[in-house]
Amino acid sequence: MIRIAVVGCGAIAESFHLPALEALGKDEVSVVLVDPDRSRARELGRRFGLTETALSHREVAGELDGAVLCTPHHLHVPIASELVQAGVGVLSEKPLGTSVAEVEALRDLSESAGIPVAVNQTRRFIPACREIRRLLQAGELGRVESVEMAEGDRFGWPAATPSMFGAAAGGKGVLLDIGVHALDLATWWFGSELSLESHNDDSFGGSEAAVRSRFRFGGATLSLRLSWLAKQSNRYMIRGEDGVITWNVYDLDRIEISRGPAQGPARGPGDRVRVHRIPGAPASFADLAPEVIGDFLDSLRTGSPPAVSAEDVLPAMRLIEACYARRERVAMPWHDFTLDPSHVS
Amino acid sequence: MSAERKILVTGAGGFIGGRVVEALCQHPSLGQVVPSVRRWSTAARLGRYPLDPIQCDLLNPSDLESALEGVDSVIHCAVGGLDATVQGTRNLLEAALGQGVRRVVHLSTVDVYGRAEGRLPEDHALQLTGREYGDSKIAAESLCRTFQERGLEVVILRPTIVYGPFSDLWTVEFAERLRERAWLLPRETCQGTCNLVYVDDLVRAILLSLDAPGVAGRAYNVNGPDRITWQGYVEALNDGLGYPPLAPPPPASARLRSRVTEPFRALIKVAYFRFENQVQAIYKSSRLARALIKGVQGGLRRVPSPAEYDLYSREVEFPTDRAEQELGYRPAVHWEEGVNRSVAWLRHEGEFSRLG
Repeated sequence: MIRIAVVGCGAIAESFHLPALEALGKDEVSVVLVDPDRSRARELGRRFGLTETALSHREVAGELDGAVLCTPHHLHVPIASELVQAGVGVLSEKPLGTSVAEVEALRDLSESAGIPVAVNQTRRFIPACREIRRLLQAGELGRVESVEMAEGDRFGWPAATPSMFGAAAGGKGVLLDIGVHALDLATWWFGSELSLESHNDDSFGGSEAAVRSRFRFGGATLSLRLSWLAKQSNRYMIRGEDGVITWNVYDLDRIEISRGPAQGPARGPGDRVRVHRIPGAPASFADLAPEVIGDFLDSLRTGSPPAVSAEDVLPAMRLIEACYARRERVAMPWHDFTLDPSHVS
Repeated sequence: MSAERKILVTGAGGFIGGRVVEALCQHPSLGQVVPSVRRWSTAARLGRYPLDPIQCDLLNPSDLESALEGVDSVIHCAVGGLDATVQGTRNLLEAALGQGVRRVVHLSTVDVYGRAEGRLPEDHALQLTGREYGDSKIAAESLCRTFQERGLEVVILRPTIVYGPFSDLWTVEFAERLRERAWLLPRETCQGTCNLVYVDDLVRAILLSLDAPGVAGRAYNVNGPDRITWQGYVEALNDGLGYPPLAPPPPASARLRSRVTEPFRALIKVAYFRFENQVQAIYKSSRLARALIKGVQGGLRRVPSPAEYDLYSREVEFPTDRAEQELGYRPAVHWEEGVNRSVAWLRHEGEFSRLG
């Protein structure tokens, strides 16, 4: 029997982690729900047949084997650090931290204590993303020449707190939220030699909602386009000298591969586009949770390193930090507001 | 004017409220903006400024009491269904009166004139049509007058067709249809007046209404400087986006399709509201189900509703003489400039650099 706390009872706990924990059964795990809003914890408890709740992880740290952190981003590292010091393993939602320094400190703590810190970088569990990595490692595209990643839509996550926006977010927005997915995949696929060329966003001192960044690796360029404000193509395209891979970010089980030179559109005349299906892939994102949770529980039981550790997410965190350090405002001529002359006078 | 005074903006996550917040952030001498949203998920746009938005449900009086503490004036942009628009406005005005708020600027609409045609100045009769938006705004205006009599200063603005960056209805939706080559309205039916007002002109009228003397209890049309036809607007947007010329369908078949589709549109709307969870479950169940539901949605979207035919053929004008004389309002953004800015924004924000 493993004793787990789910810390933070928002939408990701409800839709992703708790169904997977529930499916494991009460003989395998016992779960305590932690949230400063007791009524919310009880509401989820009723839904998942759980009776134990606490207002803070500190109330229960002494009795836990592990904790799943679903709190606002900026609380992941402070809570994880306390738990690891108390000997409790942690599975944190992404992004693990909001700065490189705090993630490095947590990694050091985890390594010296021998207590696992796992990160739910869900994309690494998606069969299509694993297949792309395999194809790239096998050299199927030849030398990679360019990568385009475009992702986003109008923000629709049922956020329970304002922590992701405005003053509360410390000037970090969609890059930390969605960009951490894209850049984690990029460093996992192409290695950690990616370097930042330019970063533009639309922050006016708050959390950016649109991002245009460019990176380089080897002789290739990677362009990243993110939005919280409008629907994007939600497609990643990797152009190599021998072909193009296209992945729609909502597809768990399929990628498109077109053979031939990278120049020109991926689906132009003469391209042989083939839909490559990965058998046995889950139907929805929530169906990835059993593997994410299972990997974490294995790590708690056996001490084996988790599929994605604090160390593993550092390359993407470093790129994100470089972007924020070099941010420039994207040109938005429609944005400046002119007062009526009577106000000016 | 004082930089110290607090201005609460309701509906700050929306199209107009969002622009009001940006204007006040860029001109802090007008006051300290307090953006208010019902759901945090709408705060991404205003979060670009280092603000601390507040969460306030207009249907919850205790939320309102704390939101209005120390507030000098309110810009009321929030809109919703009948409940949010009428009861929400009532709650807001009641709380504002109780908390000693000086003035409320209430965003109404020219839809309060119903289906009337011709020249419609502010003293033209209001007309219920059975359409929720206009009818609920008539009820909300009536509440504004009641509270004005009880001692709260309320200024009512009736904007026309508000377009520009973040306008879902008149900018994004039109651009998406054009991109999908799904503008299926015949040229002849789009010869009505398109009373465009660029969002910044409306926001200037809102800001003028905060302080103009002697305007409390008054209602004002807020229109742009030009009158073009709907066809003119659609073609300008299409050209601006760099798309090939429109090839509209012959009038008879298009209107027939609209009439035939209407019962399905109504049926699907009812089915969705009554069985939302079941529809969502089916949607999530398989790729085929998703494709089918999207296909139906897309098909309905591409067929204009009879209400659209009415709107695009209506010859109507909303004069702004009263706003010009009493508020000092001067619409400044001509449609060519407004379309240019809209297109630049669409290209920046969305996927409008090529045909979908």
